[in-house]
Amino acid sequence: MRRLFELETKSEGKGILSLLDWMGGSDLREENWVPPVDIYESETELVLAADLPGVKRENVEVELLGDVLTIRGRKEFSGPSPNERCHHLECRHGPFERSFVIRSRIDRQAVSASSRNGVLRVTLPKAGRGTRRVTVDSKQGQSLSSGGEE
Amino acid sequence: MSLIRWREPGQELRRIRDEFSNLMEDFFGRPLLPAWVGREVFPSVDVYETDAEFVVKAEVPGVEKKDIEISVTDNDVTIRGEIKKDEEVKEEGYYRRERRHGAFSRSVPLGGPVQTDQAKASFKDGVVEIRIPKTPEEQAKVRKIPIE
Repeated sequence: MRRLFELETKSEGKGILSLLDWMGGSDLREENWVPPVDIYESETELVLAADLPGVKRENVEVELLGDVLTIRGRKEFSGPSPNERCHHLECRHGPFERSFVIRSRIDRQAVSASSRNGVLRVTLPKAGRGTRRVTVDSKQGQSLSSGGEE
Repeated sequence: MSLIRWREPGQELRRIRDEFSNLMEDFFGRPLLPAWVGREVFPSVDVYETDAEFVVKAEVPGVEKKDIEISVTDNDVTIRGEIKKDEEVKEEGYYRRERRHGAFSRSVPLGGPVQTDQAKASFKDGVVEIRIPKTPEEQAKVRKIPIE
């Protein structure tokens, strides 16, 4: 596996304090959580996929600042209301934030994000060697469109 | 193809945590860390009950609706499925691999008798929600006691 830097975000690193939280077993309280991510690279692009089940699309932010890619957002609590009896509460909720340093040369204008079935996917197409610039003259364009009508 | 066991990042940390957790359990007589820490159990679930029904919510990010199977018995709910990889990525193409892939199955006990034929399930944003009404007898057991 190749190496990639993850920046420590301000939400993490509570150390012994978060351990004390666990001891208290404060399940219902909102706290920072860390969504699992896959980051992989193909010939043409770099892809980040993050598990964000139950997170609304409008509550997710993707940011590329310099060479730092950040995903952040908030998952709202959707569990039982106070008058409902609770058996298990394992699903995390609250704010999350993760940042990664992207070393590959990417086409910044072509970065896109989508979400499906609770997974956020950020696609960063590579710039340079992998990119082919194709110019299409009007003649070829015509032949293409006539082909489409058949 | 050579078969090399995938070592998850953080696996060593989890091992240390597990040992620590066992030690604390021996000492305090109860687990110190809640079950979700480290996510060995998949999927994570919320289970709760209202006066009329049991509700089970399971987080299954990345699974397609057609790949989920839910079965309900008098005692429990079982959620099965498979998270397929979206595309073939070479092992050396990974920088990070934390998400769960492959088949999963989890059974969750319910707290009382239910009407299995009335169970309903929905799926949105990687979360399955199952609602199963209690039997009328079970519903009748709930009695609110006013404080005088």
